[in-house]
Amino acid sequence: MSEGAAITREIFLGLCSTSRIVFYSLSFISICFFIWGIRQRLKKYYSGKSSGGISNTLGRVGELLKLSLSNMTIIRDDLYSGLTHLLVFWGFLVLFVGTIIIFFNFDVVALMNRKWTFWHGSFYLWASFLLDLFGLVLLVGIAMMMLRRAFFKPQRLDYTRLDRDPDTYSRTKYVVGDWLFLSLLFVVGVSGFIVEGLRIAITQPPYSSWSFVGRFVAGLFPEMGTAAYKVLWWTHSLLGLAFVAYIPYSKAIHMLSDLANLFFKGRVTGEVPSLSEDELDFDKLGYMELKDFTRKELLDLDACTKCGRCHISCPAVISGLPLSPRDVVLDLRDFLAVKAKTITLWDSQAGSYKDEKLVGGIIKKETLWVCTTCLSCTEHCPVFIRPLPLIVKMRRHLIEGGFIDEGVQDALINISECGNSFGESSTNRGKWTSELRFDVKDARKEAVETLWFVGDFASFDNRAVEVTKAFAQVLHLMRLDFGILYDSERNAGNDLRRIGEEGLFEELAEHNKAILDECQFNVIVTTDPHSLNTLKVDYPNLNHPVLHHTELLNELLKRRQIALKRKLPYKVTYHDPCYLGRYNGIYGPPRDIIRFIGVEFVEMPRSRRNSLCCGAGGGGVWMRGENYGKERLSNMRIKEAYETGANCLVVSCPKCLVMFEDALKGMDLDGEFVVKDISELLLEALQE
Amino acid sequence: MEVFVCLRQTAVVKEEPKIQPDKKGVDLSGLKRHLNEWDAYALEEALLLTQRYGGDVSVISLGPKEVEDVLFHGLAAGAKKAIHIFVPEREQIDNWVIANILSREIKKYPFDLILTGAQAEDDGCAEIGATLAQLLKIPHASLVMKVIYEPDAKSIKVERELEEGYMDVLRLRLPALLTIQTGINQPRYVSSLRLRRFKKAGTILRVSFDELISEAGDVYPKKEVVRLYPSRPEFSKVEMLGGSPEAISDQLIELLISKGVL
Repeated sequence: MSEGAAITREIFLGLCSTSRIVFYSLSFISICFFIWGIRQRLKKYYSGKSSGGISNTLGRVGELLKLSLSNMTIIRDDLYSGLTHLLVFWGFLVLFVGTIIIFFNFDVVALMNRKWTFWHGSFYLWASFLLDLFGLVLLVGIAMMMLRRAFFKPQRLDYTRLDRDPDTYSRTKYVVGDWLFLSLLFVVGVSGFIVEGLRIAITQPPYSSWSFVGRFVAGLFPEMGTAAYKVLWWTHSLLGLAFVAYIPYSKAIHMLSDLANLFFKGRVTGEVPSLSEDELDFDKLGYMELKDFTRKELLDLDACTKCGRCHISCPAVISGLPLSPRDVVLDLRDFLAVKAKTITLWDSQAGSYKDEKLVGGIIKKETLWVCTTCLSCTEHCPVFIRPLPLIVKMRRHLIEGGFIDEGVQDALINISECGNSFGESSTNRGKWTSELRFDVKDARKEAVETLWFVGDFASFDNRAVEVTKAFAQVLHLMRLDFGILYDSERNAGNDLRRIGEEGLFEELAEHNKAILDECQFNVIVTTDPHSLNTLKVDYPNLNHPVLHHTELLNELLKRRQIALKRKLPYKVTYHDPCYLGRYNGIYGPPRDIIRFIGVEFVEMPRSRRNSLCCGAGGGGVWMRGENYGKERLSNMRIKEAYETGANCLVVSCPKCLVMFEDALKGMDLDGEFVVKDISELLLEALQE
Repeated sequence: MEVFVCLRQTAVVKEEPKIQPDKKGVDLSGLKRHLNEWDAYALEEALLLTQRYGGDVSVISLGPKEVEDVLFHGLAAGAKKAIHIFVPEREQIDNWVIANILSREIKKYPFDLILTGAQAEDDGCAEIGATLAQLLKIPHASLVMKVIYEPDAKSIKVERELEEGYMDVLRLRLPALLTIQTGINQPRYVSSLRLRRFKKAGTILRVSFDELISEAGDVYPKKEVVRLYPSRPEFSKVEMLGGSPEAISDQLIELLISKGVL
């Protein structure tokens, strides 16, 4: 045996062969528990509907490695918790790999040929060093997490519900589960170091400085002897094996389910599923049973670690309304735990409410109607869980039962009878063009370069029509060849789909698609991010690019030499509309245009992906319900804009504009403060 | 409690209606049709009553093939039976004939209550309900805003809306006919998927108009439209003034001066 071979450690120091047999048997049992738990999860997923196949496997693997190894989606919104998670993640990962290497060396390689073993010499020394280092990293991370939970108590870890009275529900199991997970991992780590320390104290290897933590611990317990070592060895081993068995039944499953969720994450985060066959045939819209969920949805639910990022970034929670995306996800998961008879360890509050019914019971009707579909929850979820499709599917159930706000009902009837939510005659759709000094082409009658899909608010709302005319004038000034569909256009259906009126959406989409197919044009433009989103995401085979007006204007400004005629006196801030920003990632073009106009520009604290919804989305703009919670979102947002010192809030969505103008009427702000669309601002700067 | 609801299909008119060349009616071609607004409230009230007191709702309508849309709407909303009395387009009928035909058909079934809208959006006559009650020889209350069933007395108590905010409380012996005022309830929303499903799978009992007419004997229209015309003066030109209040007043003064008013 070479000298290097002597540099190693004994895995079963001082333990008799019976002990070894007991250890291996217990390991086997632990792994059986683990496999059974995983099987229980997989069985649940496979009782769901197929989510369709996945493509680009290699790209997905790359994305998975990037996101998981860097923890970037955890770090970006919360540095402290992100870094602690990074420490725990890497600590656990290295220790796990170390354990696998040891197993491979002693239980695979050694059985084939003792000469091939490698757990000695410099490999062993480096491995010892790394395992000690990352073990320490793990413990520091867990300790920091515990500190955060016990003393910093951030709002997002507070399980208080907004939709129920405090004495009607319990979250004790969740809290116990959180602490059990952290403590178990911590105790496994600490006991590991003590075992190592005692071993070093007994064997006194000359190279122990490589195992620097172990050596430090050895200094603390120099005289403990082998009996104590054996007790500690067993303690550590049993805890470790218990932890393995515990993983699939607890929140520790997130180590696997989150990786799976990152791998399977959807391409378009704001997507809403089409109706499935059985939803078409039966009076069974929404969720009733396990089989009503898709596999991806079931995985989404299991991926939640209750981190609460969605909770604190949800406009409903911010305004104190009875909805939290976190609670929707957890309620659904607990509901399914009962349906699938899942065994969990302090990870489910199932059965804490007597209600058996899901929609209108466990999840209240008002909870579902509060959602503005702003997508902030998914945007802030580190593992891209999507509460939106779940909420939309449950809304379909409410629509089917006719449980809707009167304002929404009026809008839906108007849309089905007149094609627009205002209940106006279709012939008035192009009425605004008569107020211009030039003609707007009829895209149905002649070919145009750009087809402008105007949308309901931009066609019929008095204030929004001002913007529509301004944009038309800008296009005219830039000599762009454009036309509109006049009375053939119908509501694009974005919000209908997200309200859950899927049937009406289908009819509108079919109509609009047919008209668009008859027209000749190169590109579609719209000032309405809602129409933009649905045309881009929900309409099948449109075969034409769809641009938002800020994208088109930005392109035109870059391509053509356009001279500004006026310096504008505003100090502006910009509000990112949900359907433009979070849904379609368009953050740059509006800002580029503002920079081009040359006005002073300040960002609001909540901007870009953190933008606060104006409250219009998901049918909010139609709702007559007077419950705004603590304060209307649009009021809050105007205050936020005003506090930046700006005197002009620039928007790029007709619905945001209408919401803000409405809120502004009831507010008493000092001095001049206006809301303008970006095309109004541009037109002002381009005119003498 | 068995409730019949008479439904009428009316056109959705959102702009100046086009008058037919013979000036005897409105040109309805190309207009969307829907359930007469008052009838929607009557249907909802019937559904609420049967939900509360048991029994079924039947809906009945008369007209061309298209009126089946409102019958399917009735089924999708919760009615158990739908009857369509098919009237070919060529037939000239008035509300008298409609009431006669309806009474002939409804008489064939047991019923406790007949509901219909207080009036129709299109002709606003408010006469079918009253005529039908007379033909069936049952009590009638119009402009009903509240219905309370009294099963023991086999009667209903209703509240009627009078002018100047007064309410009239009546008790009617059953069977009875009520014409319902808007605002009595909030008609439920029928989703387009639900409607589509009922159009596909729902059943409508189709009844021949000619048979009912021959059963009834000499029922013929007693009224005819002489002329339909807009009574208000037609403005040759409407100009909207825009801008700030100051700008609007300036423009207005200028206009008034130019027209020689000032």
